[in-house]
Amino acid sequence: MKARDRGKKNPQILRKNKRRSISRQTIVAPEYRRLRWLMGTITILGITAVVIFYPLPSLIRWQSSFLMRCFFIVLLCGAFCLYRILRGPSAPDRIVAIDILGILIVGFCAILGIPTGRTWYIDIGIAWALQSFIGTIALAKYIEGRNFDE
Amino acid sequence: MNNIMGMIFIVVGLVFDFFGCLGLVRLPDVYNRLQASTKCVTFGTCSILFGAFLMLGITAAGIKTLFCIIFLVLTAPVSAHALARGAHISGVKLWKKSVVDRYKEDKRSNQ
Repeated sequence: MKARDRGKKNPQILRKNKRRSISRQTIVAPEYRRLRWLMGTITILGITAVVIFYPLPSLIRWQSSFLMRCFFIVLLCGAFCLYRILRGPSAPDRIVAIDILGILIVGFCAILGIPTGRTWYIDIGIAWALQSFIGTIALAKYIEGRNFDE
Repeated sequence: MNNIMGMIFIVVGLVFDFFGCLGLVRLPDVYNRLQASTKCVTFGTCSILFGAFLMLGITAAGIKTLFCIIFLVLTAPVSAHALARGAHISGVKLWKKSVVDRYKEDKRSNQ
């Protein structure tokens, strides 16, 4: 009997959980919201300018520095996706970010295959696209199966 | 000539990729992020692959990039639609300022 009672969902506990989930979202005063937005914009613009104009010193001497800069911009986009995976408020956010990261890696492999002359990187890209598609479909089905509010 | 055209295509693709990922970081809602990022990043990656095809020429690797473009164009929208449906059914709420929710209305009218 006790185990059954534990299994039943206590309405008070549910209410507490709901409150916690609401308070987890950062509630910011409207005066600071514009300041936060500006700070985020300046940070992103600064990182982008650094990546485009002063890329890291190249460890590999490639034929042209052009493709290396492209390479670093794709890495920056991957860093944005990782940020969304770390700080997504819900599960679908993270799955969207994983899907986008999978598509980005295909382009990454294509760029990597040109200057190094190793064309099997493109094979890796095709296989990665297939795996990413199947994984995203499976995760979407998994989300659909459980209902939070009904 | 082929090299320069390939570089132009790669730059266009990088711009689209960058703005798609910017939307993934900055927009407020799951659906907004999905709509901004999926289309942009799919087109950007296809453009990068086409640039790689122009730079590699008609070789085995170049034709593989064309197959990769076809595969991406066919599969990326499917996974995006599945994700949007799953997110809506799992109860992720829309943004406060979003205007209309057709899927909910359709559900109600079907019941």
